[in-house]
Amino acid sequence: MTEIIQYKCPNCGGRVEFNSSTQNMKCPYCDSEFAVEEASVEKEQSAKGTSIKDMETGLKTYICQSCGGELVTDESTSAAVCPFCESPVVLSERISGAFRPDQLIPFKISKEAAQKALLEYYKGKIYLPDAFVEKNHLDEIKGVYVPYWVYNLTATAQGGYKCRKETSHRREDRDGYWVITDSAVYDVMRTGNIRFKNIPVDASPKMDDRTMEALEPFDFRGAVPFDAAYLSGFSADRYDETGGALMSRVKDRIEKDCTYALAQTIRGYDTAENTSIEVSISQAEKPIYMLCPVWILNTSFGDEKYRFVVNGQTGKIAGKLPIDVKKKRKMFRKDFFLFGGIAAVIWAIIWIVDEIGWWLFP
Amino acid sequence: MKKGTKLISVTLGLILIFSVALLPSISVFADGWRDYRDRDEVPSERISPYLIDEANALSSIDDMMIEMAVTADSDEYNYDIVVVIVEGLGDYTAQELADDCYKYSGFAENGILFLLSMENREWAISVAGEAVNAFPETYQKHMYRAMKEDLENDDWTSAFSFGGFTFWCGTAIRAYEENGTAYSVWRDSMDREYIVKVIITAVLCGAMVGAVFALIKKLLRERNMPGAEVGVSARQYMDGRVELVDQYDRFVRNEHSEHFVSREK
Repeated sequence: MTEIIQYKCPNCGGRVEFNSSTQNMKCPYCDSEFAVEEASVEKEQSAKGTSIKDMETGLKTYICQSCGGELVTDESTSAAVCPFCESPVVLSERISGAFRPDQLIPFKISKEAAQKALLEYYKGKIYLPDAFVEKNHLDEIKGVYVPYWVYNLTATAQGGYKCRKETSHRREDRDGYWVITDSAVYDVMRTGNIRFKNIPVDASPKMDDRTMEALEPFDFRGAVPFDAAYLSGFSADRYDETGGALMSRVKDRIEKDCTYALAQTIRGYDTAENTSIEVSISQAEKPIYMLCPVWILNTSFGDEKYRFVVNGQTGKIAGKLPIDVKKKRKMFRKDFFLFGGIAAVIWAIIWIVDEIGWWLFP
Repeated sequence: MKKGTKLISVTLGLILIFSVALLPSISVFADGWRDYRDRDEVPSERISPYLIDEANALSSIDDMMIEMAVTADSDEYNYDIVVVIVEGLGDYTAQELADDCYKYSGFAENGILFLLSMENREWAISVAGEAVNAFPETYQKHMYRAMKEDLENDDWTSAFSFGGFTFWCGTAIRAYEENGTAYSVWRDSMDREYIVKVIITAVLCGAMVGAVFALIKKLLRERNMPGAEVGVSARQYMDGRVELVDQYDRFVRNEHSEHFVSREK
């Protein structure tokens, strides 16, 4: 049995949701607003659990208390919106126990602002197909709390370097000169601790890792202790990968930066050649399980589907745009003939002026 | 004996009289054009060769080749074609010196003289008679342009003899005699071959510049198009500097190297 949580308006009993602009709970029916902590909860046991058919696909079906419609979710969904009556529902079992997030960054960017950010994103993208912009139709806009593990850790980097101190001087000779160089070669080793604070790693396999990295940074000062009320009106996923399992991704991310930072400690030499480097995570605090706000905007163009993600806190956007190959070629040809034509005319004028100039000023 | 003495005396007297009588003409022939200029006297016949190298700039081979060329062309065209190389211009301009040289050397009515000063590489062309029409100023500049590179390289034979100055003189005189008008430098410069050359080089230049600029613009536009996201650095999450916990700097060896750089390079 799964418990479904829906938040009710204390004034009219309507389903309320979190409003990103006011950072309060808002009733869409009577426009009442109240603090997140004041939201009254209506809980109901969903009688319909997992059917046999659902077990094969990993999907689960819930009954919406508002309209009685069936709400189908996958195993990692912890909050959703009823597709029939658009009532927000929170699935409590998905956010309890080990799956209860430590913290959450509430949405600050509204749906409209996210759409606007997308239109801004199109601006200046000259290879974007005209039809993509003109007939732009978003198939879906979804506010999702994406599960993240946030790491605070200390990495230890040990690097070996071959360094040189060089002095050189010139000795003049009849036909040229000698450059005489004296070098003192040193074997240098550095071991250093580098502290990293709040490295976020998304824990949902549904989201592309690189795209989610492009959405960073999140301002963790805006994080609040988890309260399920913030999820009302949005979708939310729970983590599929544990904090320990994602440690290797963290190490991959910090390795290059540790190498660079350690190299900066080598001073007093003219050259330094890195001969070895080893980075390990020497000390790591328990990762914080955090939900971060992301707007997902799905659109299709031709046979292709495009997904854009907007940081729900900062408005930063990421996503791959389609390229109009014909337009690209046409613009290349246009530039080629324009610049080539100008250059050819200037060249011919210079030549002719040079010719005439010779007669005038030989 | 008396008769013999008288004969000798008469003979010596005659020699003396002839010598006195011939003296002015001998001295006239020995004078250079500058002497005539000083006296402002135009000689009745040519007193200078077609090649005057007062600066001793020419080698004996150059001298021979140029002399041969200017003499042959002067004889062929009935125009005196003269080359003069002087050390400096003194108080004169190159044009004044060239005009004076032609006038006081007793050259023919029709002719052309090219004068070059070694001191500052100034040049002038003096034309006389029909050569004024056959060698208009544009043509003179055209001639100098054709010779300029050889003159700068002290390649005197190429500059003045066949293919150089004498060639351009021959071309102009022949054209003038055939058409009664000066040789058209425009026709020479703007012939089909020349125009084709200009067009081809302009097109090639345009194609290169066009391709480079179009490629740069393409790359800039592509950079503006977000594609597959690349990994983002974690440097922004670094909290403070590196805290060194262990380090050493061990001296290994000294190295010495010497590298020669040639002055020619």
